[in-house]
Amino acid sequence: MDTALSLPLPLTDSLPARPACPADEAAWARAAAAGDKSAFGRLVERHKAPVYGLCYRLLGAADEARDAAQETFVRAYLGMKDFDDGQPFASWALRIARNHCIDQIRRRRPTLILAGEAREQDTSGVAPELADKQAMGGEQAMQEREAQRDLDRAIMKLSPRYREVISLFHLHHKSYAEIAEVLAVPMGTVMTWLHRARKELRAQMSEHLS
Amino acid sequence: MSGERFQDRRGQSESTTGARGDDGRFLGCLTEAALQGLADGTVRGPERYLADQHLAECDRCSTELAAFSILSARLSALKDPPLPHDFTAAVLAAVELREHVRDARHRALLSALPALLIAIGVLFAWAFAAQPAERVRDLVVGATVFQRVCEATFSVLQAARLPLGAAALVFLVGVLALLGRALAKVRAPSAARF
Repeated sequence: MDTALSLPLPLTDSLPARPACPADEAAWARAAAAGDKSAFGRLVERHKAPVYGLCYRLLGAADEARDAAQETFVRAYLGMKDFDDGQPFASWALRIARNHCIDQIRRRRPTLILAGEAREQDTSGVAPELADKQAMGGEQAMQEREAQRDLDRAIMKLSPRYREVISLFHLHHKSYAEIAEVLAVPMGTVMTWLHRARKELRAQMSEHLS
Repeated sequence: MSGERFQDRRGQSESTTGARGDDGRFLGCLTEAALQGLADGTVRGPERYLADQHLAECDRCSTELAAFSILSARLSALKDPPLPHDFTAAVLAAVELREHVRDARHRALLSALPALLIAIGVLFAWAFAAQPAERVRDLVVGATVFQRVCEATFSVLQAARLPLGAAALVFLVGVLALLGRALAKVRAPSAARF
């Protein structure tokens, strides 16, 4: 019995088909392409979190990420006539966001490290729900928060492509196929990047993972 | 293939067959990829069963799996900073503004159309008119240097008069086509708005 492959496969046995656009989103996209802004508003409402999340993980600063997410949706609206509603709107929007963020990173490379350092002091991105855990002892809660903050920093030390897969897979629960669609790479590459990213995180976070 | 997932304790990869004992169980340690798959829950079926058998006996792999499980849990617990509540409204306002700028640009382009057409018409007429160099020479009597430059320039232009005229015609057609398309784009959103 030959069982395993080198990397974990997705839950489906066969190769997944290209993800399709949900019917309601396709209808909204068509309406938006015809100039219906309320329909576009619904698309924004549904997809703003992953788009903003990806921007945040790539750019490392909340303000920049918000502006980038806004620019992403503006570009999406202006290019809506080119949108193929046979593909998911999420993948398309995330691709626009990714390209925009990469442009931003290239333009702002000298200040990126400073932005990352500034962000280290900003705890707003670190598991806010942990503060609400009344049951958790004070010291334990503090340790937990510190571990999450260290993890946040460790993610920022990863290369952009690793940050992307970590954000999309773990924070926004996208499948391998969806991530592959967004990043325009084969699914095996996504799995490899994810594996390497977690390996790096495992090494950086060793003291918190024992 | 599975040899990459299971490796012996010295870190050397072994094939699935080579790493198994007589009872079919894996003898080598799990690789990091396999441990990550187990932590994510993407390893299932007989493979999961065999891996669990190995984990029950191997402290090192159990510890590693625990570490990757904690890492996965911590990653899933991470949150991005919250977006402002009016984010969608801000996006729609930005869209409105961008459309306004685009329309204004189109309108400016359209308002420049008459001037552009006149300029192209003048160039076209000049290219096919007789003796333009002499007319210019009459106007600049006394300015010898300028006159000579003009003569030299016009003699060159005279030679290329027909190609220039043809190019002007082609340019005119291109500009008219572009403006026609721009007009259609400006009209379409306006119609949708009202």
